Formats: sequence, structure tokens, C-alpha cells
Amino acid sequence: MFEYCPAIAEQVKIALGDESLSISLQDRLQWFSCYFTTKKHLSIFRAAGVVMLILAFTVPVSLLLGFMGALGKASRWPIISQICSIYVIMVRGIPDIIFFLFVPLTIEIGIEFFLHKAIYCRDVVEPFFNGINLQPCPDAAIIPTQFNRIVLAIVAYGIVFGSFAANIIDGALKAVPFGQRETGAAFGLTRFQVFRDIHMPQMWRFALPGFSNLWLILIKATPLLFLLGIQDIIYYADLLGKVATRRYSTYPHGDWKLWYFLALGVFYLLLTMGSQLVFSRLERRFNQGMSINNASSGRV
Amino acid sequence: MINECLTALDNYALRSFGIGERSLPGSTNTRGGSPINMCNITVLIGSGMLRNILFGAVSLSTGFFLALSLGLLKARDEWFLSTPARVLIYTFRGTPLLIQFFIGYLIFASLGAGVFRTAAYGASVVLFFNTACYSAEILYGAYRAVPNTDLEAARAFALRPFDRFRDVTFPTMMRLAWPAYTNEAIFLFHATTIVFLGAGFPVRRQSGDALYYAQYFAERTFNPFIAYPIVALYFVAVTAVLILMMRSVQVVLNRHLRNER
Repeated sequence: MFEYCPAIAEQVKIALGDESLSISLQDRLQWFSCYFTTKKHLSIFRAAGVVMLILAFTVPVSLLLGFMGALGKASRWPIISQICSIYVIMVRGIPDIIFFLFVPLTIEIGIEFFLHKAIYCRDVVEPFFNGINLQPCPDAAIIPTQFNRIVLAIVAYGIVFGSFAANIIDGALKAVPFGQRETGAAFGLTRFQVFRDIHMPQMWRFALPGFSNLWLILIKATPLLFLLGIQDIIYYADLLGKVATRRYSTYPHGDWKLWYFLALGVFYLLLTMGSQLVFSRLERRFNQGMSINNASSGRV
Repeated sequence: MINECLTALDNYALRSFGIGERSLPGSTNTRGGSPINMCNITVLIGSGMLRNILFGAVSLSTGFFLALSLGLLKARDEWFLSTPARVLIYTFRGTPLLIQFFIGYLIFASLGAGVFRTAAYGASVVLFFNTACYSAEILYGAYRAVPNTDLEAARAFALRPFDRFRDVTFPTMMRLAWPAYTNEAIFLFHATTIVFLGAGFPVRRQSGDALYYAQYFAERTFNPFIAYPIVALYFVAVTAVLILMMRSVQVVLNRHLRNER
């Protein structure tokens, strides 16, 4: 990255091998400035950006699914309302990580099944469903790229956190006093107008503490991306923290994994801290002008 | 079919603790394992489930005591008592569990702490601290929500501080905290599933938890539609039992209140 890097790396490398040589503080600082700007380190910073990007995409998806779930639950058609009720309580009974593993694989297999049946393997005799085993023909088998994996992860996260969000929205919609809606109807507003102008604006106030909680849970669920085979910050921390020997590495060091993971911990701590600050401000704003002063402090 | 399942029970009922047949179903080692069938899948995942339950039960029951101390410390007026508790709670609540597992493992490994480098013990310790901090926050909130009038009444009866805590504060606190504590128990129980999925702790002799085996089968057969629904059903069932248990405790805690049972 910097011009002095090759020289300083070489110098420190020699000093590490020779006990009689000492490394000055300035050299150390320079060495670190080089170390943290190697190609691999830039990719860990990029991975942190990817985490943020996934967060940014997951929120609208899960809000949309959450609204669909919560509104569907109140639907007049029993089939829709039942499906949505199951969706709303789904994540309470089943660990989210199961969905994170299940949903991407299911989508992948769905695509493979389509390729198998419709395009590549029409004359293959062996069935796709072979007892417990699933076998797409070799042409139809796909290996997801990093980008595909990230998209699949966003879908999986969206479904899981949509379920959480549906739970919150469902509760918040019920928390708006019925008299408010009744008044709207008395003024001759249609059902949709009542929902848009009276019910929903008031719902946000009740939903906000839940959403703030959910956002924190979402942030803390992002390390699970690592378990889906995505090269995220944990992947790179694990990789970069490993012992780098003098023989094979320009920047040799011992086992620094602990430091890397502590840094990740601090990264997440700052993220949650910042979020909490933002949400406490939002909460104050949403409660402005409400007759109940401390709507949020009553929570246990 | 029944015979097959009995054999599966024989071989794999306690496989997650390393007891029983060594090779997993469908494994291709020299001794040749049993085939992958519904019995083997169900029994093996159920065996892993025992591990999840054990993780949850151990960390929740031991974590409660640390949670109580931390929660009460955080509520103290003296800064040198409340600040450490506050920092500890904030740290554990603000960082992801997966990273806590990694850090825990690396610390145990660098200390050379024998059994704690295994998933069974090491992960339990991390889960213990994690749930203690989450519960501490709940108990702290509940402590602050104890009505002042109750304490005034206790003082009027000239109860000593300890008696006041034991007979008035603590029961009320538990009653207020219990719904949130139930949630925490459920989420902790669900969180035990990531221990064996690559959270740093090595898996020895393929003795893992429910999700570890589900993933094993899904990878072996390339079929997620059997193993994952089974593990999901197991979790739904155990969560339901957990909720029932917690609710029966709640009934006991609320028995003096007419409307809130």
C-alpha cells in the first residue's frame, strides 16, 4: 500500500529472526500501517461492508413480509389467516439457524429440479427423488457463487426476521385503541382509509420498542452468515489471525486469532451501541405529543 | 420396520454422548455403517436433541444465580458495585453469541484449560455467561419495577433488610420477570444449536447436537426436506414443553393475584 512497506517488512522480518536486533517504535507503527493495508486486510474491511449491505437489504424484505404476515393473519379468508398465523409464531418454536440452513438449500434444489426436469436432463432415466437421496443429473447440479450465497442469505434472513416483525406488527396493531378506528369509521372513512390514516400511523409508536429489539437481534445474527459459507468478517478474522510463519509470509506474526475476534466483538459492540442511541432518539420523537409520557419506560 | 427402529435406538440413542455405534448411518468407512433411513435419522437427531436440552438446562439453571447477583449489583447505588455489572452485562448483550464462542474457545485454548477446550464444557461456560447477562438485565428491570408501596409496607412491619428481600422483593421481582425470562429460556435453548456448527469448538468423534446431525444427513443425502423438518419438529415439541413448564411456575408465582393467572 505505502511506498515504505516492502523495506519495513523485510527489516522487521530480519529483526524477528535475530534476537540481537530490536525494532523501534516508529518501525513497529509503520509495520502495522502496512500490515493492516495488505490485500487480505482490505477484503476483511470489504466483508464488513457486505455485512452492512446484507443488513440494509434484509430490513425492507422482512418489513414487507412482516406486514404481509400481520395483515394476512387478520384476513377474512381462513386459509390465508391460518397460514399467516403459523408464519407469525414460526420462529418462536424453531431456531432461526435452521431456517438459515434450510431456505437457501431449498431454493437451490428448487432451481436444480427445474433445470433437471425442464432443460438439461430430459432423457436421464434416474429419477430426481431417489428414495431419501436427491440426485440432479450432473448438468443440472449448481454450485452457488459467493454472490448467489449472499442473495440466498438475504432471502433466508428476510423470511426469519419477517416472522419476528410480523409478530411485533401484529401486537402493535392490536395495541391501538379500538375507539380510534371506530371514530374513523364514524366519520365515514373507508376501511383502507382508516388503516392508512389512523391505524398505521399510531401503530409505529407501539412497534418501535419491538423493532429496536429486532434490529439488535438482526445485527447479532449476522455472524451466522459464516455458517452459510459466506466469506464474511469471521471467515477473514479466522484466516488472518492464523499463525503466519517467516518462511511463507511477508508479515509474519504469531497466533493473533484472539485479537481479531476481540476486534470483531468491539465492532459489533459499537454497532449495537450506535443503534441503541438512534432508537432511543426515535422513540422520543414518536412519543412526542402523546398524553402518555413514558410509553416506553413502563416495559419491564 | 419396528425391528429396524429398535436397532437404531440401540445403536444411536446416546450417540451424541459417544455411547453406541461408532460409525454414523451412511458413513463410508471400512466397517461400514448402517444405511440412512427414517429410523436412524429420527433417533440420531433425537439423540443430539438430548445434548441441546442438557446445554440449555445446565446453563440456564446455573446462570440464574449469576444473573440474580449481577442484576442486584447493577441496581446498587455505589458506582464501584454497579459499574462492573453494567459493563459485563452490556458486553455480553452487545456482542453476537457466535463471536463469544470463538473468543471463549481461544481463551480456553490459550490457558490450556483441558476439558474446557471441548464443546461440551467450554460452550456451556460461554452459554452460562451469556444467559446470565441477558437474564440479569431482565431481573434488573423487574427489581426496579417492584412497587415502592410493597416495600413501604414491609418496612412498616419492621422486616429486616434480608427478610424484606426474601419475602417481598424477590417474589414480586420473579413474578414480574417471569414472562420475559420464559422468552430468554426459549431463545437460549434455540441458541444452543450453533455450538457444533463451527463455533470454534472442535467436534470429537462426531458427537454433536441435533442440528449437527441434521446437517450431516442433509449433506449426505443432498436432501434438506427430511432432516431439517424433523429437527424443527423436535424443537417445536421441546419448546412447547418448556413453555408449559414455565407457565406452571408462573401460575405458582401469581397464585395470590386473582386476575393475572
